[in-house]
Amino acid sequence: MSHAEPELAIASTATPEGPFDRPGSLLAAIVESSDDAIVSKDLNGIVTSWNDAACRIFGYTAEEMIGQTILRIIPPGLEAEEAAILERIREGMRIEPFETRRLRKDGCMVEVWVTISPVKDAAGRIIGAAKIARDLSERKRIEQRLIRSEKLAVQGQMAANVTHQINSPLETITNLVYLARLSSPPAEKAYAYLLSAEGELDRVAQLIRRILGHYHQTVSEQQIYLHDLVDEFLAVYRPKLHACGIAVDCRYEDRRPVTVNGTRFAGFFSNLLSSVPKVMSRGGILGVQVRESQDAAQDGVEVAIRLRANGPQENLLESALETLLARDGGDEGWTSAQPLFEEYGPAIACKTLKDRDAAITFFVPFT
Amino acid sequence: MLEYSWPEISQATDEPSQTFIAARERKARCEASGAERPSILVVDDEVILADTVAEILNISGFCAFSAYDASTALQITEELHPDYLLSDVVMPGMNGVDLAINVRKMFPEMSILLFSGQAGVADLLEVAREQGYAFDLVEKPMHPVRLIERLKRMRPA
Repeated sequence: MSHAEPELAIASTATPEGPFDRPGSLLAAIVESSDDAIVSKDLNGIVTSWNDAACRIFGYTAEEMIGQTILRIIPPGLEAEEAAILERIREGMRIEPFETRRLRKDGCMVEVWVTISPVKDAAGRIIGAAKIARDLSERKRIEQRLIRSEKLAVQGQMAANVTHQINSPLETITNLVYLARLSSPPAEKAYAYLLSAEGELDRVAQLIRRILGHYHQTVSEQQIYLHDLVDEFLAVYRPKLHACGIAVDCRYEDRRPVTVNGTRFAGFFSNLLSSVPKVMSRGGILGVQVRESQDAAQDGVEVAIRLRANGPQENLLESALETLLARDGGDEGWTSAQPLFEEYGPAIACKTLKDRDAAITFFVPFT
Repeated sequence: MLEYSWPEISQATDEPSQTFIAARERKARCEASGAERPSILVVDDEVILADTVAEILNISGFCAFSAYDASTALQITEELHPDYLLSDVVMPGMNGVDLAINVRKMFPEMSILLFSGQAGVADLLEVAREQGYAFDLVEKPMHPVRLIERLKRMRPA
C-alpha cells in the first residue's frame, strides 16, 4: 500500500533554519496551532498527517494514527460515510461541509463539523484528502443548555398560568369551608376538622404565592430581611417538619435588610426546609440563626443553618448539601439552591461538627 | 359587495335584573333592621365566589350584596350607593379596574378594593394610575378573616 505524502505538511517539517523560513514551514505552524483537527489521508483512507488538535479531539497521538486507517475514528454504522467520501474524492468531486460524529480513543462520541478537500500533488493528481474537523461538543452543550432554559421558561409560564386559574376556586373553597365551620357548633368534631382544613388551604395559598413569586420575581436585586424569607417558608413547611419529629429553633437578630436577589435565597430556603425531613429521617433539631455580623472587611448578615439529628447519622452534611444542590429542587419543584452557592460560594462554610451535627453558614454583606 | 346580515341583538330593557332586585332587597332588609351596617357591593364573574364572600361579609357586620358583571355592578352602585366596592379585576366585558374608575367618577368618596388572582393585573392598575386613579389590590386567595380586617381598615368616608 503506497502512502502518498500530501502537500499539507505537519509541524514536524520545521527545518533547522527556523520554523517560518519556508512557506511550507509557516503552513505547518498554522496547522499545528489550529484549534481544529487537521488531518490528511490517502485515497485508501490511511492517515498521513495528524495535528495536535486532532490528538486533543480524538485522543490518539500522531504516532498512533499516522499509517493507520481513518476508520479507527469512524463510529460503527458510519463506515459507509467514509467509503462514500473517499469515492467522491477519487472522482474529484466536491464535498460540502457536514456535521457528523466520530469515535474518540476512550470510546466516547464526539460531535464534529467536517470540511473535506482533495489534496493534489505537483502534477495536479488527486493523491488524498485533507479533513478539518471542528469539535462541536461545547456548542452542543450550550445548545442543550439553551433548549433546557427555554423549556423551563415555557414550563414556568404554563405553571404560572395554571396557578392563576387555581386562585379563584381556591378562594371559593376557602370561603365555603369557613362558612361551614361557622355553621358548626364549636364542640362538634366537624368544627375542628373544618378548622384544620382552613389551615391546610392557607398553606396551599402560600405555596401558590411562592410559586408565582418565583416566577414573577425579576433577577434584579431587592432589599429584604432574610429572616422574613425564612418565616415565609417555615409557615409552609413547619407542619411537615413537626410531623417528622424535627423541632425548629429560630433566632433572628438582623435589624437591617440586605440587598440581594430574593429568588436565589427563596430557592435556598425552600430547598433547605423541604429537604431537612429527608436528611434527618429520625428527627432532630433545625436551627436557623440570622444575625448581623462583621466579616473581615465589611458589615453584613450571617445566616447559620444547624442540623442536629436524633442519634448518630453518617454523612449528615453530605446528604444535606446533596439535597440542597439537587437540580430539580426536590419534590416540590422549587428552584435549586445552586445559584446561591455559585454567588456566595467563597463565603459559605459547611462543616460537620460532630457525628450528628452539621452546620452551613454564609455571610451576606449589606452592600 | 357581499351582503351581510347583522345578527339580532336583544334590546336593552329598563327591567331590573334579578341580581339588581336581590341587591335592592338586601339593602332594604339591612336598613329595616335598624343596625348601622356599612354596605358593600361584591363583584365577581364567578357567582359562587361572589355569593360566598357576600355571605361571609353579611355575617361579619356588613350589609353585602353581589353582582356578577361590571355593567350590573354600575347599575347597582348608581342606585344603592354602597359604602364599599369589592371587585374582581379580570371579568368578561368591562374589567374591574374600568368599573372602579367609573364608580370613582360617580362617587369619589366610596372605598374601593380590588381583588384578583390573575396575572396582568398590575398593568391595568398602572394604566389607571396614569389616568389619576389609584386603587388598592389584594390577592386571591385571601382568608375571609384577613379580608374583613382589610376592609375594616378602609374606613368609608
